[in-house]
Amino acid sequence: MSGLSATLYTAGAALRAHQLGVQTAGANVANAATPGYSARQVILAANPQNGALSGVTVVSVSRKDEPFLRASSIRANVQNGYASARADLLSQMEGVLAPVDGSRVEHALESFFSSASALASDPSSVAARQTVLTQARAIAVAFNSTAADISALSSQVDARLSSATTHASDLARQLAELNQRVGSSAPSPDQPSSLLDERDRVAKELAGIVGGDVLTDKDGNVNIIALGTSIVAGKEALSLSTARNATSGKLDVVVTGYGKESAVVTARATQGEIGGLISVRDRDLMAQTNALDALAFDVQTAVNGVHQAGVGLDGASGRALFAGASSKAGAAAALRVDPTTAQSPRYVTAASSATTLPGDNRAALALAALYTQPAASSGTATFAEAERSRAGSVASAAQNANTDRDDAVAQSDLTASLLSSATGVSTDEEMIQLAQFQRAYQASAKVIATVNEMLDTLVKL
Amino acid sequence: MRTTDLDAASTRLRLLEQARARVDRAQTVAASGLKNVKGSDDPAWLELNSRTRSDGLMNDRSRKSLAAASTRLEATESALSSVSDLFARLQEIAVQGGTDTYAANDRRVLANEVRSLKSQALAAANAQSNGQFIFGGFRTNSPPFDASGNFLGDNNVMQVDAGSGKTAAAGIDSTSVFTPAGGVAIFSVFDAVATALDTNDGPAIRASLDSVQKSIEQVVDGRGAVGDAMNLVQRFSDWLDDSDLRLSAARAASVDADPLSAYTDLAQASNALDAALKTAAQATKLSLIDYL
Repeated sequence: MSGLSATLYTAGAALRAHQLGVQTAGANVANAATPGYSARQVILAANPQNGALSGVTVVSVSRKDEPFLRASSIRANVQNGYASARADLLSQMEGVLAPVDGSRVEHALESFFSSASALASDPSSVAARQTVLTQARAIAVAFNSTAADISALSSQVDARLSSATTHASDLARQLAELNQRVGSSAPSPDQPSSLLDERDRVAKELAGIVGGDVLTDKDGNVNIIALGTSIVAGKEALSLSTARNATSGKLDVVVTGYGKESAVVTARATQGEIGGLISVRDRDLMAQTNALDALAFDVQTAVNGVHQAGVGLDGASGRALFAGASSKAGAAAALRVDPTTAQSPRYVTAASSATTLPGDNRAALALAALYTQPAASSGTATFAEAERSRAGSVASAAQNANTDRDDAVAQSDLTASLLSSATGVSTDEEMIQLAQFQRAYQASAKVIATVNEMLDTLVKL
Repeated sequence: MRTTDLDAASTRLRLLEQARARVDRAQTVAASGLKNVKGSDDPAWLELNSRTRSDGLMNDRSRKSLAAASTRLEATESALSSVSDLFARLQEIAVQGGTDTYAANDRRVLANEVRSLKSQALAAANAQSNGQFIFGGFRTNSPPFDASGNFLGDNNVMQVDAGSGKTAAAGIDSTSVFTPAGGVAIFSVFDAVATALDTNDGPAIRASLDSVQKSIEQVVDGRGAVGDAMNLVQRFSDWLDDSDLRLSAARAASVDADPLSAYTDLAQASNALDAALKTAAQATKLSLIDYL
């Protein structure tokens, strides 16, 4: 083909190419605020079939992509999922278990031993004994309610774990479906860009929850290896769920295979949101439970030791002030005032001998002195020091978690920003593209009009 | 670097969140008067805050105990002072009645006064503080001396909590003041003098002066012991005052917020938020669309 017809053909092809350019810019502008959207770009090339006077042809409408940055962004999201889950929960834990103005247990201990000191100043007073009894109840309530708070936090973690595994299971299924749809989409100059965007978004979100590695296989499938297994392998996805552990009473993470076989993978959940949740529940909250139980048991043992050696106003000895667990396990939740002693304030001991009633205050003094003695943590700390150590450990863990979260968020933001910079939509850029394609379209139309006039001239000869 | 719309929006949002969080924090610090908002800001600070607060409370608790001890010791001193005055009068009577110029009738009058003195001394020895008998040792609920002056209490000395595991005496061993454990049973001295006066026995009256003197010395020693105990209570109280000062200094240095810094930080944070809002609004307006 040559001459005016060839020119008309070239201009027509250019009209189509530039129209596609405008259409692509329009799609990009429309998705400027869509998370995970990668900008499309029209790849034009000179048409080699026309020899020296080549026209233009659309090679492809491609999706901008940077695999390295995308992989970095996913890795950062894995870390972010883990660190954010820990920071969120530890922040809540800190508010409940390590308040700035001192914990309930610390306040209760202070008040109890102050009441013992007051009883020592007025050992014949029934009212002072009643105060000791009341403050002993306050100690029990403080330990009980703090243990309940830890239990509630653990339940909250389980609820989030259940929700996260359900969501992860949905995402895994979606990812497998997207692998299938991407693989089966009809070949075209354009890639199945929307499906790829969606698949990348789903893969990133899923990795943020379960952790692990996101790998692309030779067939172009995006697979996820996490929790010690292939959560998504091509067009297949494992199912994730939770099940109550009969021994611990906590939720386990369970994966169900393609053949419906199930496996508990809780111990392998060390990354992503699920890893963060489990680490808080099984490490931080467990440490808090153990520390609180140990302190409750130490208080119970030491106070009872002094109280049982003393004598009440009725002249009887051997009564415990606290009742509860016989070992450290569960001591905080079980602590209560001994039901017998609770019957009368006269049973609270202040004297060390029945023959020296009622002014003998030696037992009350010994009780008050317990507060300053290393009676906790195997004789290495006072009760207050042990409680402050417990609260301090929450604060330290929260501080570390906040630092890790800040680092992870910064890394996640940086990689997201780099990826966005490489593949995202800039409306300024699209406006320039739009103007460029519009002008080119107008110019091609002008070529057609000019050729048309030339043909008119030719016909009229 | 190429900046996309999403990235620009995300950056604006992040900067605004940071600026607002800074204002919230500065506001909380200024309102609470504490250097930090939560323990994770500085776990060591959390421990210091808790310890200094608790130590202050424990000082208050010890101060109450020491105040109770002080009240009891003042009552003890007051009672012994009365006993001391009574023995001074007894000594005067013994000296006066011991002179041979005194007739039997005059001595009988003096004997009646001595019996009155003994009654007053017994009342002083059965003194109470806060409803407790102060000379009965641990037997605080009944009078330690019967009408004849026989001791019914014990030699225990009540101690009170003085803080940091220490104790302070809230009384004295009354047996060393009133009973033969101290040398002389002082109420029997009244009886001996009264009997000698009643029987118009000049040598016996003069001989009783030695017991009177020993009784006076016992009471003086008892008052000395009370003085020592009061001094100890005072020293513990002074130590608590010093401890409170140290705690206040420690809190001011490391726990409490510096008001000037707190309000300056709040002003700076507010200005930063204002600037962040203005720049975000300005940046949002800038687009090539408006110029095409």
